[in-house]
Amino acid sequence: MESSTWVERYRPRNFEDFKGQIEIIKRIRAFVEHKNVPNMLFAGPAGVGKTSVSLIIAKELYGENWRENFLELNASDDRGIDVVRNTIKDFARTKSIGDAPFKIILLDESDSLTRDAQQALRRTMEQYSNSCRFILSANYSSRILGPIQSRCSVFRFKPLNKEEIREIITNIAKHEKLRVDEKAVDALFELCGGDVRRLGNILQSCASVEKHITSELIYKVASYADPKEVKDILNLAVKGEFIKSRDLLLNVMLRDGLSGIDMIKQIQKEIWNLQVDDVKKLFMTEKCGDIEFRMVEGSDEFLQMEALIASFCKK
Amino acid sequence: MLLIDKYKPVSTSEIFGQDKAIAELKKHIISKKPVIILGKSGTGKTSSVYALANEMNYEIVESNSSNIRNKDGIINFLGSASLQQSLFYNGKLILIDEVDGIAGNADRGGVSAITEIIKKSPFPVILTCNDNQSKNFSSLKKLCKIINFEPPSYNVLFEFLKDISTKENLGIKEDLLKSLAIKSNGDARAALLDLEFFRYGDFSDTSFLLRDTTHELSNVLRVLFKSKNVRAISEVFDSLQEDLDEINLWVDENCPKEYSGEDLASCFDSLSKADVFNGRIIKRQYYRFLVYRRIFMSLGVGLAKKEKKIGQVDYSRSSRILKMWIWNNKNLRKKSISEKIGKVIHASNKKTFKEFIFYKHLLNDKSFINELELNEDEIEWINKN
Repeated sequence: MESSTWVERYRPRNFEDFKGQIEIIKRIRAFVEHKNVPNMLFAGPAGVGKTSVSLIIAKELYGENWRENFLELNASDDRGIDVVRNTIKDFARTKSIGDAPFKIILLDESDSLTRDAQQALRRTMEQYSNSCRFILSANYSSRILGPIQSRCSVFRFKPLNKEEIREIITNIAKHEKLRVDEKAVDALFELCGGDVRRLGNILQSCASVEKHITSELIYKVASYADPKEVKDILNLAVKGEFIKSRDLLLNVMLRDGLSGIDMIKQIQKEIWNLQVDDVKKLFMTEKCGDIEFRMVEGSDEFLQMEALIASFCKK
Repeated sequence: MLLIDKYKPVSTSEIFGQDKAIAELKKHIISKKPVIILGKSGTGKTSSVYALANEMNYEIVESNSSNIRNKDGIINFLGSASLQQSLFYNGKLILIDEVDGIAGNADRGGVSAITEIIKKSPFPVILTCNDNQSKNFSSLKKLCKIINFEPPSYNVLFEFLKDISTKENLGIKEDLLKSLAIKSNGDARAALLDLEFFRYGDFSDTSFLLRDTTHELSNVLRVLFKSKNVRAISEVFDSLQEDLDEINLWVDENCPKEYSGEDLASCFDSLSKADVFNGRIIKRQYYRFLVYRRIFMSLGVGLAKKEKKIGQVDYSRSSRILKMWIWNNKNLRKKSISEKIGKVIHASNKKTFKEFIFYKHLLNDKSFINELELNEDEIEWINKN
């Protein structure tokens, strides 16, 4: 059955269809052809093909019944040590099905695994290396413990360049009968960078409105995902209405499931649209940077956000 | 009679949220397989064993942390009992409670004695344990089937407290019951103990239980926000027995009532620095940083003001936790749908939840709903939103 989401419908099914990451694909194809895949770490930003490559590897190795020998887990949802001790271990220690030489576990977003979980993973990777191989994907390889990195071949995925993005857009447009303006391609590239998942989502949302894709439409649709209240939060803060500002902030964060970092990104962009003088804008931006840094080091995101808006309240 | 005694479950039907675990436990008792029950305190481990024994007409021989549990202690206490038939019951159960409480040194040989009993006893042996990290657990688990008792959710606990509050005619407001349920962290026993405070109180004032610490905390906050005397601030802050995270929430909630403008910014700047040290403590387990966290939370906050604000302010408990709970419930369906979308497009639930708007228009599409295998509740939610 064909998926309703374009992200799935146009996900590359084999190495030939894959766009970008040419060198990486070459290496991995060689691994697959020799039916010998090491433990691997795929590092790189979102939507550049880390998961797609993993799925292709599984399909090439196992054919039709790939799902039986392939376990996909998302560490950002289950990030504790229990996942490693239970789910992963149970899958890893049983024999692979059919004539497959080993099973594969894809651990997506593994940089969000806790330290303890990573420690536990390290032994598991070794103990079951006969029956199971790991693919870890991560945005930041620096958050993966050294001992784990040393047990993996590390591949660095790059964002897709504009030509590659254009090819993907052209392909989708052909199948979905869309007319995409040249300026719209620029807009998509500007908004998504090299993130193909985001590209697919925005394009499909646009197409649900109209088949003729213009840059205006794209900017409009892309902004749907941004909370509308950011401006109000900032204006309240600048006016010195701290309590109102923070109540709104907490509600928006909880309602939309946004992290402190998500929120600070939005605020930092919105500052430049405010009706305050430029020197203050610069000061506010500097504060964003300070607080973002503290947030990474600290423990309470919401408190850090409060510190940020309190600094805006000051005359 | 205390509420915890009055509502101590007599039959398994009175223990909530553990039906599956209890059914499994029963199966193992019948087949006489040794079992280790794993779960946090107050999830009903011991109660379930007693309720089951009661229903099945079994006699229980129990050893818990209050017994001396070295080798001789265990053999003396359980050894003979574990071999003799029961005279008046259908059978006998050996219950060894809180095996993680068997101390390494004081109870030397205890674990190996238990191992012996598990191997030799003709009766089913049941162990309970809180901590799956404990050494005793890891050496005993190999011999036993593990049964997990998960802590009940806030919702279940809330209903439980509401039920008892109604039966006892306590007339406690729902909000308070909710916060009791949250505070108990899945521990039904603790929740019930907390409820005890409300039995003989005057319920026009709902903060009865929390009054004691609230009062103490209010005094500390008053000094923190009104004084500029370094010694007074440190002394009062150090005298407080509350957990720092709890104080942090109180200061965070109430400082905007006392400070504004530059003072408020400076106060939050100190709290933010204190939080950075806390983050470093958590990440590196380097507890010396506690000194800096405390200083920024006390003096940092106290010295943030240029002038103190005149007049009395009523301090209140942080509403943040309650809001988190409320939003979590409101977003339940959206979350479960996001989870299913995540499965289909190979992305995390968090990501699909955040970008929900991009998938929402697809949810009008029958084929997408089939692809996601949504259930009735989820479809109903879509139609409403």
